Parts: sequence; C-alpha cells; structure tokens
Amino acid sequence: MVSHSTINQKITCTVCGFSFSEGAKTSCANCPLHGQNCGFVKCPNCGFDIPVSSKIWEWMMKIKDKLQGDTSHGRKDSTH
Amino acid sequence: MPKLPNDTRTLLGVQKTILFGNPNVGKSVIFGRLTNQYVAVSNYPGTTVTITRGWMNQASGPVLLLDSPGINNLLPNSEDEVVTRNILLSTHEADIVQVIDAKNLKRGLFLTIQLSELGRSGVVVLNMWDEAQLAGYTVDTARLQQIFGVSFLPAVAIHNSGLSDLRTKREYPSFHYEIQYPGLIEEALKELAPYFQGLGKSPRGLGLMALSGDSTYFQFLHGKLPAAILEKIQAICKKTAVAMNTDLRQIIDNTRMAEAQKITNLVLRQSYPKKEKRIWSSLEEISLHPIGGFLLLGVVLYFLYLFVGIFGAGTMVGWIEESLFENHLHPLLIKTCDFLLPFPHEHEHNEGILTKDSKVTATLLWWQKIFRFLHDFLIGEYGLFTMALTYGLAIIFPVVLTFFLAFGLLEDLGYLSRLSVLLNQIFRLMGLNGKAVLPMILGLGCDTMATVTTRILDTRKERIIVTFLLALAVPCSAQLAVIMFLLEAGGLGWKGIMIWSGIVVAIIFIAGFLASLIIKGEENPLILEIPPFRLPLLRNIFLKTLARVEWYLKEVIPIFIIGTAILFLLKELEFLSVIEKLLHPLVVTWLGLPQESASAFLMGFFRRDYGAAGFIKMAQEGIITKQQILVGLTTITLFVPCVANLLVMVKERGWKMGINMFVIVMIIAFLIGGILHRVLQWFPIAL
Repeated sequence: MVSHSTINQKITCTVCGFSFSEGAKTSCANCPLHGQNCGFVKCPNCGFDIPVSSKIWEWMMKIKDKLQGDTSHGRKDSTH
Repeated sequence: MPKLPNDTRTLLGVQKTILFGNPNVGKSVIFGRLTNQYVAVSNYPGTTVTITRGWMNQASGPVLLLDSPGINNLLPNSEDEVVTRNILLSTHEADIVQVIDAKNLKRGLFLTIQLSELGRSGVVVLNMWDEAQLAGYTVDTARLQQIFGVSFLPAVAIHNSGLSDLRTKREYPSFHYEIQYPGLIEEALKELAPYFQGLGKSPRGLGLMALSGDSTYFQFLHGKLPAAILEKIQAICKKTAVAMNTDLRQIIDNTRMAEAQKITNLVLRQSYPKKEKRIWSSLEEISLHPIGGFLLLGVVLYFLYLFVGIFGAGTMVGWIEESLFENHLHPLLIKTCDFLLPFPHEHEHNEGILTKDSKVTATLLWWQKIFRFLHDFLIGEYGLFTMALTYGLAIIFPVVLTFFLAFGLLEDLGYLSRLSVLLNQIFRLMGLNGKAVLPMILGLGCDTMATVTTRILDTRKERIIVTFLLALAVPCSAQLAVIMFLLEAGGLGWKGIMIWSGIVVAIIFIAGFLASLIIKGEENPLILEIPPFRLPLLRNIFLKTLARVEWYLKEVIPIFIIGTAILFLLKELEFLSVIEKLLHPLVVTWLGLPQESASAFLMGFFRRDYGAAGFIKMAQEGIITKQQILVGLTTITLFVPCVANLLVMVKERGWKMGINMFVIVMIIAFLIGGILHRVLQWFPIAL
C-alpha cells in the first residue's frame, strides 16, 4: 500500500511535458543500474531520467534548517 | 472496507469504476480526490505497467476505483494502451469516468467515440476547465451531452472543484454516439456481430477492434472465443482488407478523428484574449522554426562551448588539475606515501615540483617490494590518486560539472522538449520514426540509461537498432564534455571539431538509413507537450546538477578506479607491454598513433571519456599531434560507451546479441579511425 502523499507527488517531465506521480509510476524495479537508490525518476512517457533528489542537496538543506532552528525539513524534494 | 487483493478481477460482485483518458489529463489527481487514504499499486499481470486501485465511498456503498494508464487510442500502439484496452474489455459492467483536458478536446473526444462504440456507461470530466477559460475556450457541454448521451462535467481537479457529482451519482447512462464507416466496413461489422454476442455490450466496437488487425486483440480473444470462431473472424477481416485494398486501421482511425474534429468544431469556441507580450514569446516561435530553430541551436552550442569549453575545460581544469592537484596535492601525497612506505627510490622534479615519475635506486628487500607495490598502486604511473582520481576529479569532473550546470539550465528553461522536436525533423529524414528519436536524444545524457529507455519502442527491430546506434555513435554527457575540453586544451579548433562531428553524424545517418530499410511498419508519432519557456530557477538548476554530480561520482569514478587497478596489475605482471605489442599493428600501423595510445584504448574499454582523458594527458605532455588526437578521439567516440553500457546491452538484448553488437561496434570504430588516418595523410589539413 502506498499513501497518497507519495502517489500525489507530481513530477512533470522536462522533455515531453508528461505529468506523473513519482510513487505510482516509478520504473526503478526495471532499472539494471541503480535500483531504488538514485536521485532520478524515469518518465513513463518518453524515458527521460529526471533528477528529483540529491543527498548533497538534502544534507545542505538540513544544515540550513539547523542554522535556522527549523528541524521540520527532510522530505524528498521534487522538481515541477 | 475490504482489503484490496493484487488482482482485482477476483473481486466478484463489487461495483467498479474505471478512470480513463489520455496521458497527462489529471486522472491521478482525480483518483486521489475520490479515493480514501491508502491505495494499492501493482503491475498489471504479465506486464511492467502499474495500475493504481482504491476504494471510493458512494451512497450505494464502496466502489472500487481503478486508475488506468493514460492512452491516446484503444487500438493500441504501446504496452500501456494494450493494458488499458484489456482492462476495459475485461470489465463490461464497470462504469467509465473519462477525463478530458478541456484544452485538448479533440484528443479526448477521439476516445469518447471509441467508448460509445463499445456501448459503455459513464460520465466525462472536462478537467483543467480554468486553464481552458484562461486560453479563451468555451465548451458547449449541453450540446456534448446531447450528442453522446452522458454528462460532461467541467472540473478543476487540483482545486477539488466540479467533482461532487462523481461522489454522489451512481447510475450512469450509456454513451450512444455511432458513426458511419465506409460501406465495406459496415458490411463486415454486420457479418462479425454474431460472433461477439455475449462478449461485451457492443459487438460493433469489438468488431472494429478486430478489423483494425491488431494482433494483441486476437491474443486477448484467444481462450475467450473458440478457435473455429476466431478463424472465421480473421477470415472476415482479411476479406474486408483485401476488398478495400488498404490499411483498415488507418481508415478507422481517420474516420474517428474526422468525427472528433467535427464535434469539436460544433461545441468549441475560442475568443482569443489579448495576447500578453511575453519576454519569451519570440524565442518560443524561433526555437521551433525549421531554420530559426537550428540557428538558435547554433547560438546555444556556442554559449555551451564558451561555458564548458573555455571556462570548464580551460579555467577550471587549470585551477584544479594544475594548481591544486599537480602543484599541491600530488607532492603532498607523494611525500606522505614515501614517509609511510619507505624504500630506496627517487622522484623526478618538474620546475621544482615533485612528480609521480620515480625510479628505484637500490635492490629491494621483500618488505620493500611490498612497499613499492603499494606506493605505485597509490601514486605511481597507474596510481589510484595520480591517475584514477586525477583523471576523474581534476580533468573530467570540472568539465562535466559545467556541462551539467548548462544542461540543467536548458532543461529548466524548457528548451529540451524543443530540441527533441527539432532533432525529430532530422531523424525523420533518415527514416527513423518519432519514438525511436527519444532514446537517441536521451543518449546525449547517458547512453546506458537511454539503452534502458529503448523499452518504450514497439518492435524488437527498433529496440535492436536504436541500442546499436546508441552504442556506436551517440556521445554521452561526459564525452561531450571531454570533446569540449579537447576543442579548447587540445587545440583542435573548429576545423577538427567539424571533422569529428561530421564523421559521427554521417555514421548515425548511414546506420539510421540502413536501419530504416530494415524497419517495416507504421510510424509511431512523437507526442510531446511543449511547455512555454520560463525563467530558470536557480534552486532547480542546483538540485538537478547535484543529482547528476552524485550519479557521476557513484557510477563513473568507481569505473575509473577499477580500470586503473586493472591497468596497474597488467603493468605489474608485465602484461601491459605484451598487450601494447599485440595492439601495435592496430594502434601504430593502422591508426598511426604513438605506442602509448594503447593504454588510452584499454582505458576506453572501461569508459570512452576515460580513454579520451588518456589522449588529453598525452596532448598535455606533447607526445601526440593534433591529427593523431583527432584520429584517436574519433575512434574512441565510436567505441561502446562504457562497461555499464555493455552490461545493459547484454541484459536488455541477451548475451549473443549484446556481444555481437560490441564486436561490430569495435570493428567499425577501428575501421573508421584507420580510414581517417589515411585520409588525413593523403589530404593534410592544418588543424
């Protein structure tokens, strides 16, 4: 079961303009390179690998949040 | 509410509703609005297509809502369309909620006509109603309801507006629009009708699917109808196709599309609002213009060269490789290793700076031999720090980083989709169809990931040919970056780059043209939604660049390290000189390159850009001429991109095909390299 918060995280492909839900349409299971552990999501329409998250970015955001005294940040970022 | 099993076909007696429509019309948002907190996501049996299911509360009780993959036609062109067609045909009693993008009415009505012909019941949601109004569209929903016999509900799903009827209504009327096809098709439909009785609500719709000649439909019917009946159906279809002497599917599609256009003309009006003069509007027009688009591409490439070639490959590599690595980091590492792993040896100096080149000054004891081995493994000619990490982090990384930044900027600007459309025009010239173009364009990012993308292609032949072209001649981002470097640091100049790109483009064209002779069948149109240009967000560009940098560090650097370790072991076991001698006829005699190039080619087997970095190093050391750089670079470009690509080729196409492709690609690479060497000898060009 997948929660709606994951299903509804919409991503728009920057090549073909197709919008899809990251949680529902991921093709990680078929990817022979990275499995679940990479910052890309493959567009189900055209196959473009869209960068959606970065561990360095998340780490930078955590530091920024700590500096600002806000510990609520930590979710996976997505590009729209 | 009952727990959802993986295969909902087992849920007998449960009311079902199917969300149906084109891709990207907001089905998933509506699904989210209508269902409860948790949903099930699973693959459709026997496919990689994911289906989302959830429960929806209605007055009459819980209804199972199924989000079908977005499609453009029920006569399928792709696995997604086969799955949606099969879902529809397997659930006769389910209601349909068709979602249409109100701005793209014709595309949606093309599907509505097909639902009518299948005799389904349901409702149509005209989503994105607000955007349609902003674009000046007005849709006569009452007239549409009159035509199709079902409700057309204006909605804005993301604002949860216009969906209340879907939550309360349960009894939906049937779609009842019927169109007239040419006489012979109508006669065939009458003949076919008795065979489809009991299989669905409308034998007419099922008959039209049969007449289209789609093989996946006959596979679907297999087991549902006796073999003798299937043979009769196929005989009628064949007879009709022969009588009409044309492709029945095309006639069916054209008739439906013409009807969708006719209805759209009846119900849609657009009052053009005063066009806002946007900063980008002229650029948007130019970017898709057949001539202006290529001129703009030239400008983009020039700025890319300035940023990646001049700044990345020139300035940044100068800072990182020369100032940081060679002047500070290498001497520090050499001193540290010499302190920790002492044995009698001397390092050479270059302008007073310690270098990795060293020679042993006395006979070594056994433990000194171990120290010498570790010393050379870390900081020797093929050392982990002095070769693998220096190549990876000091030479290629700055170039790749600037390329990723520029690529992220173009991506966020909305230029990539325009580039796809522009290049599609060229690829069509050589006969490759629309869909096959996408993996080729994506290969400019990473050939390995693009090879996985060939799965979107419909036929095995297309998948094989595009995989082959990707392996042969599509340079990936890392290699494009290295080419920029050679253009700047190697001093090849525009003339050299024009020769290099001319050869690569000619190879793609020749291979593509030969491929088009082999590929038979219909074209699969390239369907893209072109977003408007927008001011790139710095945050997005950084996020994308960092994601790609992580990919580079995780995937590319380990290959450099493994490749260097193998070269080091080959040298230690004195096999490297043997390999260099074995490659002598190929490298020195055939390609006219110095003996040292053999190592670069060995590195090129691991990754093309790694091999190209070897040529960069030789260029910096002044042991290779510009003509030789051009020959070496062209040969390496035509290599299989990297070890990962070879593995994916084998995984996707099988051992036999993968290895065959590898061998053919390598033969072509050396063949073209040798020919270029001779041509440059016969017609010397000052680079």
